[in-house]
Formats: sequence, structure tokens, C-alpha cells
Amino acid sequence: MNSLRGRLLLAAGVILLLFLLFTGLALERAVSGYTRDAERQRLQGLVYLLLGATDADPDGRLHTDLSGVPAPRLRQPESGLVAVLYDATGQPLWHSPSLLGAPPPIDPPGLDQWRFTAGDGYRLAYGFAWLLPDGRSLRHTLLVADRASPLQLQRASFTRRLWWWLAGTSAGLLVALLGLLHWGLRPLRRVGRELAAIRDGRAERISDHVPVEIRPLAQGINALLDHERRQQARFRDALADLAHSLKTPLAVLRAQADADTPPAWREQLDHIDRLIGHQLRRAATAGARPLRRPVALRPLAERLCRALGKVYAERGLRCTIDLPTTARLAMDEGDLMELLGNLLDNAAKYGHGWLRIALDGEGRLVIDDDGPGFPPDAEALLRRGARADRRQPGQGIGLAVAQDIVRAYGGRLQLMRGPRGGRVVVALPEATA
Amino acid sequence: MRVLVIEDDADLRATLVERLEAQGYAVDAAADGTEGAWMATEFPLDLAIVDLGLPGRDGLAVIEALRQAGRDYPVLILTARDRWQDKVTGLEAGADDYLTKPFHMEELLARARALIRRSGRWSQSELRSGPLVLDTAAQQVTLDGQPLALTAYEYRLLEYLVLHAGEVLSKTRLSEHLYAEDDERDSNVIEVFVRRLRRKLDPDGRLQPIETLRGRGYRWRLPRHPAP
Repeated sequence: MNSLRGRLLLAAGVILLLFLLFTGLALERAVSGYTRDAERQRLQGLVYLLLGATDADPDGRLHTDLSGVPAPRLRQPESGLVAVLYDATGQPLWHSPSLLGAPPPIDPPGLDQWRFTAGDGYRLAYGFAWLLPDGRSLRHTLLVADRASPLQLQRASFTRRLWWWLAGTSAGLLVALLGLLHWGLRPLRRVGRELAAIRDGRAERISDHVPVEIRPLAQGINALLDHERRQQARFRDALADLAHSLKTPLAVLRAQADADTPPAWREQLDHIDRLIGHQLRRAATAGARPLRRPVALRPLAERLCRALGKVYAERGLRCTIDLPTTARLAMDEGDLMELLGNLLDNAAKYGHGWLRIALDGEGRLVIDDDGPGFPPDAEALLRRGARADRRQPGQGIGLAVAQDIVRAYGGRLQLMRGPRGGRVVVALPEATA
Repeated sequence: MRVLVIEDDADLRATLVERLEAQGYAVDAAADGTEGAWMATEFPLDLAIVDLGLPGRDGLAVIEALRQAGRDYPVLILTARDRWQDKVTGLEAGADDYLTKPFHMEELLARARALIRRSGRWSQSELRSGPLVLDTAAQQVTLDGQPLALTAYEYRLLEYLVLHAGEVLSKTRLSEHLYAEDDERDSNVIEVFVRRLRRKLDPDGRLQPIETLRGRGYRWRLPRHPAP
């Protein structure tokens, strides 16, 4: 079970169920014991009353006169309350008019013994000896049974009500528990939502107003985010400074080179320039990172097309942007700009004034131009990992830079033949949400 | 053609000024953003070459300021930052092209020429007007296919006239665009050069390429080929 809410709910539910079950059973047992005792006493009282209303003939036959017994149900047929008198062998001698059928057989209890059974109603049998004036004693058994004792009926309805109440209480408790969990786990859910908001670029940090238990977590995440942003900014600034301080002297050297400068010097200057450019770019590439805010693709492409339109004004650059406004890539904005800038610049440089940027059905970036297309070995060079710093100037250095960035995001760059010229297809599985 | 160079590195600035002047440009130079921004808004320029990492005012701010002041001459950015983010920001601030350091001087000169041509609405590197062809890269002029020997100053004046063909150009404007701020200026010199150009371009008086508008200035009256 991988949810706190699920765990708590399951555990609490099981405990609640067991508690209610035992409570119910204990209560039912207590009530049943109480009813038994009460019934036994009632039937015992009835036995004494019946014995009191019994007399013996001179020849030893017992007679019971029900008229004096305050139990009218004994005289009502089929009332459920019956009394039967058996002789020593268990043969019925007499029974109350309420019994219409045959008297039940009996296993006589010992002398002066009570036998109480509860099942389908309650039965109480009493074994006794009747002393005749002539000194004989006659062994008898008196059975009183009540199939529809009022107490038992009450008990059944009480039990039913008891279980209904218990079920109702459990349902109520469960609902309360659900509410409690919902309320108690709300801060955790909010942290989750806020992380999602940071990922989507709607928020910068997690709110500090969280319960004390998870405050260290929220503060830790915030500190991490801040640290990372500061680090990134400092890193970029340092790289920019380094680039500036290295490249200006190089520019001076190169600008002062003239016809008398040995060609080897110029070549070395070019090589140093490419090396610096390549390494700085590689260092500046942020690469794939969790909690990256996705960048909207279309505005970026529009900015680049406007900028390239200025640079390639003489060709009258026409840029077709076939991107939905919702298209986003989870990349560092600088990296994405660098990737698109190099690819679009390449398309503008080698094409004849038309280029198109689009997303295909699989979320891959497709950049078309109307130029002569790529040389047959271009893709092999890229695949073999020809590095940007080893390339000759003007030999599609933009593509090599783009390839470096795509690699940093675990993606793939392919060169193809497009409908009007060259086509570059970039798959960025890690950046495509 | 008057060019402003704003670059804080003294060596690079000196080299740039030297190479641009050798190409016949009148060059003003500033070492920081504050001075550069003042020059960029006050001087009659045909091109500004601006380094982005400047002390005083940042290069981007300089470009924004000069565009804000309504100056519409082309601006070329020089920058050590070669990330596209920086390039796009620079172009959005109002620059027309960029070059990353370290650059090849030939590349810079070619970009400068192209930008100036574009601002005169010429799209080819050869300016053709009537029987005249100016190769701006080689700074050579041919008339009916015959090469013409011109001095550097004569070439500068001719190129400016042809670039702004059809416009009335006052003597002040011509001298402002052909001389840097520190050069000695004399508007009579313009008259002398115009006379010399007329003699070289039109010895028999049949073309009449330069029209004099009394009290207003001069106008190049031969048509552009191809027409803009």
C-alpha cells in the first residue's frame, strides 16, 4: 500500500471493525445471560405456583387446578406456555389446556433437581416426590415450557437494534475518519501541488506555511532550489566573464594579424578560438535537470525568427512557425535558445530564404530549409561524435553545437532530406513532458 | 561613410580604427558606454560598431538609447558572449547584426559594408548606377567597363553620393559624413572634390551625374540598377 491515506484508512478501519464486533458480541452475551436468569426465575415461580395449586386424591392421583394460578396463557390454547406433569417413568399424567398436541417426551431430572434448557424457548423441569398421608411418596416431574417468552421477544428486537446501532456508529466513525485523514494530510497534498507548480513554472518556491512536521522538508526544498538557481547564475556569469577576458585579447591578435603573419599562427589562433568556444558552450549547457520549468516553444521560435530576419535581411528570410501555442519543452531556456538558434541559423545560412520549424506527431522538433541539403557524410560525422572544436569553420559548426546540447539532454539529432531541402529532426524524450 | 567604434579594449579599438580608416571610413571612437552613447546620439553616423561588455554604460543600453533618440543608422554588435540568448537580446535592443569575438577583420569589414549598403536600400555588393559600377569590397570603380582611377577621398564622396542616389545632400551633411569629429573640416573641400569627380566621371559632359541645387547641395541623378 503506497499511500499514507490508504494505510491509515485500512488500519483504522480494521481496528474499528474488530472493536465493534467484540463490543456487539459482549453486549449480546450479557443480555442473553440476563434473559436466561430472568426466565429461569420466572418459570421457577410458575412451578411453585403450579405445585401450590396441586392436590392429591386419596388414591394418590395428582390434580392441578389452574383457576387459582395467575398465568392466563396456560389456559389459552397455543399460547406457547405449557405445563406438563409426568409420573416417575416419564409418562405424562396431566397437561395444561394450552397444549393441544402430544406432550413432549422428557428425561426426568433427579429428585429435587431443576433442569433448565434454553433453545427454542425455555424449558424448566423439576423432579419432586409427593408425600401421601399414608406415608407413600410418589415421584413426579413438572415441566414448564415457554416458546414465546416476552423477554425473549424483547431480547431479539434488542439485539437487532443493538447491531443496527453499532453498524450506524461504525459508518459514522468511518466518515469522521475519512474527514480527519483528508484534513490531516492536506498539507502534504499541498506540498505536492506546489512542487508541481514549480515544475510547471507557475511558482518559484514552496510556501513556508506548512505544519511543523514537514516544515524542515519544505525549507530544505526551498533552500535547494535557491541554491541551485544562485549557483547556476553565478556559474553563467563566471563563464561570461571568462569568455570576455579570453576572447578580447584573441580578437586583438587576430585583428592585428596581416599578410606577414605566418599561416601557422593564424591556424593556431583559429584553433584556440574553437576550443574556447566549444568548452565554454559545453560548460554553459545546463542539461537535463529535475524540477525544470518547461519553456514555451513558440515565443522563443518567434524571437529567433525576428532576430534572424534582421541578420539575413538581404535574403528576405521567410520563417514558417508551425508550433501550437501550448508546446513546451522541459529544458533550460538558454539551452533551448542555443539549440534552436543554431539549427535555425544553419537553415537560414544554407537555405535560400525559407525555413520552417514544426513539431511532428511524436513530439520531435522538425526544422526544414530550402537549401541543397546535407552532404552524405554529415550524419556519419555527427554520429561518430565529431567534436565542435575539431571542425573547420563554416562547416556547419552550428550543427555540432546543437548535437552537443541534444546529447546533454539524452536526445537524438538526425539529418534528413526534407520536402524542399535539408531537414533536421530532434528527438528530446527527457524534455518532452 | 562615418563609423563610430565603441570598444573598451584599447588595443582592439586602435586596430579597428586603423583598419576602418584604411578602408576609407571616417572613424570616431569611444572607450566607454557613457561617451559612446553621447557620440551615438549626437554624431551624424552611417554605422556604429558596439562592444557589449562596456564599462560605464552597457552596450545594450547604448543601443537602446540611440534608437530611443530616433537614430536609425545600422548597428553592429561585437561581443565575446556567443550564446544565442545574448545575440537575440542584442538584436531585439535595436542592433542589426552581430559578430562574436574573436572575429576575422575581413568578416567585420564585409559586414560593415553590407550594413551600410542595406541602409541605403542597396542589396548587392556592387552598386550600379547608369554606366557606373562601384565594387564596394574592392573599392574599385568602372565606367562603361573601364576602370577609373580615384583617390581615397574621391571614392568616399562618390560612394556616399551613389548610396544616397536621388537624395539632396547638403555640403554640411557630406562633410559630416566624410570626416570624423577630430578631422579638419572645410566645406570648400567638398566643392573641390565634386568638381574633380565630375571631370573624371564625365569628361565630355554627356552624363551629368551630379546635379547642383543652388543653396541646397548636390544630388546623384543617375538611376539605380536594379531599381529598389
